[in-house]
Amino acid sequence: MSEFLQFLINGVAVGSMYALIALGYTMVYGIVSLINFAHGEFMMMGAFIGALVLHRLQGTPLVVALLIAMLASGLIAVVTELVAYRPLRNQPKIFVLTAAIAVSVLLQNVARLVFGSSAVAFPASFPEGSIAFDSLGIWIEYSQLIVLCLSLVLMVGLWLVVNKTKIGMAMRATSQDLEAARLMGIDTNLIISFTFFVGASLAGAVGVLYGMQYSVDPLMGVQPGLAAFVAAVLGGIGSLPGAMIGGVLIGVIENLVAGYLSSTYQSAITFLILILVLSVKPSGLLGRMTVVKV
Amino acid sequence: MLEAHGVNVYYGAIHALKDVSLRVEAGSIVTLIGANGAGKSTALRALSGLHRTSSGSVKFSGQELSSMPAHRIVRLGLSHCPEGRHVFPRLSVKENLELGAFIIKDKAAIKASLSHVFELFPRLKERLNQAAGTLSGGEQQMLAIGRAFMAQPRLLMLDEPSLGIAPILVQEIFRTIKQISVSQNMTILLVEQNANLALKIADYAYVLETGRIVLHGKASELAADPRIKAAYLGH
Repeated sequence: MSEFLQFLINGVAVGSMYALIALGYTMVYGIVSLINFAHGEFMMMGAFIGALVLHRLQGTPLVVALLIAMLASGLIAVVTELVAYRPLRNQPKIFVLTAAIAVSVLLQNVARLVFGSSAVAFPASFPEGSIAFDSLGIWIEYSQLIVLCLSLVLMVGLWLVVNKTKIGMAMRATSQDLEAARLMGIDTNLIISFTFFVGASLAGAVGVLYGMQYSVDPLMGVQPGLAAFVAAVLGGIGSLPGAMIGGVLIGVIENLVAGYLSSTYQSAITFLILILVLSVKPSGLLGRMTVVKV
Repeated sequence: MLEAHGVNVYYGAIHALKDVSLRVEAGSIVTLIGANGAGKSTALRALSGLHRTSSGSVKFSGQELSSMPAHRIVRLGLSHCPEGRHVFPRLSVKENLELGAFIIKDKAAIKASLSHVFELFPRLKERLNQAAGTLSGGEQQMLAIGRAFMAQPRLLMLDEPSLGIAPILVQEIFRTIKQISVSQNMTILLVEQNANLALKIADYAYVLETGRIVLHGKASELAADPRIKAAYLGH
């Protein structure tokens, strides 16, 4: 039992990071119907930029580095949308999807060129130690606790922006009916840029958290990016709560599989579950059935 | 108030509007009638900036609109209630109406328009917290008109308010359109396939055929015109 609880805790901690990345996938999909395959690279960029700031400007508080990383990831996403996606918006969807894959490869190689191809240690790390719950036989690492708290703060922040602000209302309107939103006086191009910015800045924050726990390398966005994409689809693409639940679920499943079976099967089983869920409920756990208009 | 001159619009290779010129006088109801596919909706879309014109000029209170993006045109006081209603389906009736007033900063003014919309369409007040997508077609149409009204426009453009709606509600909606025109002194440009209804409440009418204005005149005169009777009024 304590083993199971421990896997659960580890899973939730990783899953909350997947959830933050998945939110970006789902927000962008909700507003421009694009699976942004470069999204994992925004996370990687966040990690590198956070590391760079801490390395070059010694003494920068971690929180400031985190904010700079979020800002930079967001801006990279805004530029990506402007340069690579927007010109293709009225073309068949496959064009912009291909562009997203191209941007993904491009950013990986830019990172390789600028930062080198070997993994580097992040200049900062979480405080060592953990809180033990002896009666249950489990413990929570400080790093996990920090990741969980920060994820929670960012998710609540996102929820407030989307549901309680005027720009959030404009985002919801734009995602439901872009033309009608324009008729309301909403600058939908600005809203699309803003959505990319917010989604990528969440990914950038995860990049820093990831870097602090593991290391930083140009391909570090691939695995979490894929896991988060699965999470977004599992939860129901386009749904914010779906992305959160999907992310945590994938994290938990991965940890249970790695713990009880073998980490070799981690991804295989994740995808197997995805296939099963989609064959029973193609819209995902919290997704809406999309009605194709004739 | 609104003056379009020699407007041409293309959808790819299709020449959808050919040298369309029309005038909407302040305080009047002008209707644009014509068969399905004649280009009526395209005309409204060109005026509100949803679709680019390839040539011609559109002037609203003396200001040139033809290269202005849609979200700026509505700020000038031209509000477009689109064909097929296009309410935000997963937002509540209240949120839809609030979005209608997206460009209005003055909170008190928004409140006043909101209570006015409830006077015009009491049903909307009963459904305030319901998701717009769950409303009936007629109620959605009321919401779409109410939402366009919330922008406090000087010119209200309505596209096919009778489309796909129970006949009894169509009568109610058209009475309300007339009421908005009279009580608010609102200028209205009405696109309608149901020429009978449209000519009854309009002051002036344009007839569109395959992208071209073929006839225009006082609504009462057009209603009596044998050509119109034969083609559009089913006599």
